[in-house]
Amino acid sequence: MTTPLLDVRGLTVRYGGVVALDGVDLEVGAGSLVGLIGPNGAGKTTFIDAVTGFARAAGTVAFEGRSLDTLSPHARARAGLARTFQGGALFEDLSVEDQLRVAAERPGVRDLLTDACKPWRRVRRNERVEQPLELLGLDHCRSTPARELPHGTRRLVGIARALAAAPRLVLLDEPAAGLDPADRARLGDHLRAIVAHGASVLLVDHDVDLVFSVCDVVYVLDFGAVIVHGPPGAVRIHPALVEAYLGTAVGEEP
Amino acid sequence: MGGGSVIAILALGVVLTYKASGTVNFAHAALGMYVAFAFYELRATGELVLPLLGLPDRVAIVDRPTVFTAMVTCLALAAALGALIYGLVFRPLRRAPALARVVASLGLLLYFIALIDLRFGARGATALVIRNVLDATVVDFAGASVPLDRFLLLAVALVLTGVLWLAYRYTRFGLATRATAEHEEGAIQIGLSPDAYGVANWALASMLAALAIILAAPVVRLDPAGTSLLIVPAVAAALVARFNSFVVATAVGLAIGMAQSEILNLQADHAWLPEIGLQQGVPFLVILLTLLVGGSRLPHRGRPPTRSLPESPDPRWTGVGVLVVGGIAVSGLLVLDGDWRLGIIISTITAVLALSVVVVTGFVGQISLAPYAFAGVAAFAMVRFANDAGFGFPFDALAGAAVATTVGVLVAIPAVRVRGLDLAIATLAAAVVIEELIFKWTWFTGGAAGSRVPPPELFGIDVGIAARGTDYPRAAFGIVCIVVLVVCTLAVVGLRRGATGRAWLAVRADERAAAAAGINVVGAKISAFGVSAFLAGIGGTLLAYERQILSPSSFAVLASLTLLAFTYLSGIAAPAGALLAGVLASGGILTVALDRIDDGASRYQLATAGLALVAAAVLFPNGIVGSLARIRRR
Repeated sequence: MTTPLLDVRGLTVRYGGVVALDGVDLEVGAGSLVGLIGPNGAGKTTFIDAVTGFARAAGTVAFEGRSLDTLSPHARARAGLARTFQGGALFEDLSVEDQLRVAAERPGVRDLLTDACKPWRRVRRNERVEQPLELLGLDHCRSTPARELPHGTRRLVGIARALAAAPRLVLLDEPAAGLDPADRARLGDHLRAIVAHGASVLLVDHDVDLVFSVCDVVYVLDFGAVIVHGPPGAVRIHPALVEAYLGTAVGEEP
Repeated sequence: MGGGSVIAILALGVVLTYKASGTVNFAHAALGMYVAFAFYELRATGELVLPLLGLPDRVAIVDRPTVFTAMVTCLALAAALGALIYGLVFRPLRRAPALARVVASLGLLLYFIALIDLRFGARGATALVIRNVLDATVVDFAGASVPLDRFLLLAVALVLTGVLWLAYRYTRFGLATRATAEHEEGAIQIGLSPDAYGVANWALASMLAALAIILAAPVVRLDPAGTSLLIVPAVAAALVARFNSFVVATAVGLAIGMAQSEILNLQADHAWLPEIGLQQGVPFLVILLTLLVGGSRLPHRGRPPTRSLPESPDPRWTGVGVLVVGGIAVSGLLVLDGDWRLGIIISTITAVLALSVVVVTGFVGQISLAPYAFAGVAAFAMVRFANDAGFGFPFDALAGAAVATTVGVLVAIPAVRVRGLDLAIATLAAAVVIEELIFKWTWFTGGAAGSRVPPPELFGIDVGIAARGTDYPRAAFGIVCIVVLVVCTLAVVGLRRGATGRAWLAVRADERAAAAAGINVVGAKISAFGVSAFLAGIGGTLLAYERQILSPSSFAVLASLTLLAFTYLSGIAAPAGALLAGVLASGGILTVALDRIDDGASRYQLATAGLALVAAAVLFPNGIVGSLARIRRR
């Protein structure tokens, strides 16, 4: 059996006395699209935070066979792990193109010195910026500042920014929230295109239909623990899923 | 003990205003200082000095006011000012970023200092007859003779602390203020008016500030800038109290006062103790450590800032612009008279210093109140390099700036652990520590006599500001300054337009998202502090050449606050804003122009700038340059 791209074992997050994640095991294989669903407060965003280093967690996170546990968020991003945020978290002052450049360039101290010497520099075309713009159809708004973008576009820009880092795995935190049905359908196509370009995707969303229609594997989280996982066809009809979303199963008295 | 009591009472007011509006008011002591001036003037002349430009300077109240009449009048004045400041400034800014609130309070601070200069002239407090309000009979205490007013002042501080503690703990007023501070919307829902509580608390806090400084004026020396900066120890005490506990604030305030006088005694008794400014420095070293080890000290409030930071337009044309402006300035130097030449030189040097503010505060959003401290480090280091190591120009200046960069990075490494107001306080404390511990270190600074700065020589030609047989100031020195400014501006434009600037702006906009995009947030902040300290250092070395004899007073904390103020007003997130800040700075081109139009017109410059700054923070946070860029885009 090959090593999965992302291998999470026993991931546990506590906020004070509250256990937000309780020993979660999850794998994402290379080139696959994995869904993570669950009711409000199940710990989906906490899972992304813990994997990307934004929340302190117990357990192990291995990426491409290498442990990420001691790495800070930006080091995990540089290792090939990109993420989006629920609110979009765009850099409001920057244009769409510049948002993507931030993720694509990652300047160091040497760049500081060369930048200081080039007040009249021409901005060079950067393929890592162009590709996501083209893939997600954002070329028309490349010079618009983020604060002037409509809601649906903001979501896509967030995804594009994550892709500009040329990640091996993208963790998407509710990319479909607040989108209209047409945009949602397009989002499904975009996700497939991203995987076709070689990145893997972990999709966290409330839109269960979207998740089941695009993902290869679906995990269901409830009260911080994985209650069921497997191919969408099997998970969709699993009684545990119904129970998690609707409370007690139909037919039982509360 | 007297000093400690004042700090304690001021700290109570700082805690009060923070509770009511989430703002650390750097003008708190300055307001008290103004009212204290008004009080003693009223006692002596029966006239009340009014605080607003445009109103008559003063109005007659009664011929010979008693202490009671004067006190009631002045406390009412303080309360009215406090309420007015809250209503016009800090209530509109309650959702603004920390930067806007810091800058607005700095504007008020500058305004009050400038107001006293306008109303009382150069004589300052010597114009006043300061008569004791408290009984100052000397009494015998533990074997020493101590004036009674020290004890009375202490008693006032303790009683006020007790009353506030009880009021906030047991009355509806205290509970309601706490509720509105925790969650404004929630408080409105249950029928409380945050505005009413805000006004009441601000009025109360302002009365405390006024009372503290009126009572303490016979004990601590009253002077516009020095007294206003009593806010620094007061904020320190409030910080340790987490801007929440009156009792802790008073205790720490008293402790700071006692530590200061105790260190003074120790230095007198033990010759081996360094004579550098331990007295002021040590308490702030403690503060700095508390803040940096303990992390954020400000209690969080249940509402995020909603107004955005100043915009940073692409400075595409600033590179060309600075060449044109530089050319005009050089021609000005060649044809204009000495006053204008000096104005151009001062403006140019200030613009270099303002660039350092643009980088760290404008681009990366980190409030630094220490640029002149870094400038001073560079200036003094340069003189050591030139005199002791024989470095020639420009290597001595570059070496000095390199030392400043190192100090800047060393300050930044712990400081970037905190953000917003915390960072502002941390850098303020760092500035005080540098000023007191490094600038008062005789070996480094050359002592009270100052250090003579060797004139710069380039290829054997003297390019100093003064030379025998030539008019002061010399155009050659001005041209050197302008070349330096042009180079620095081009570098900052390059940084802003390159990958570095994009990463900086990303960190300013959202640190979490920047980290997720692979940006090393801590590294970006430290690099910005380093670049900023380097630019400040370059500015400092130019200032050294301009002054010819260095003294620590050229690099005082107040200069840093003024610089931040002028840069914000001009446009803090744009390199062009730094150029404009240079033009507007006092002593610069605008000052000369105003005095040419009408002799003495520049007297109003600082007071107007203070008010304009407050207005800028409330009404147009993008500053002059940012607002113009915005208009052009439409």
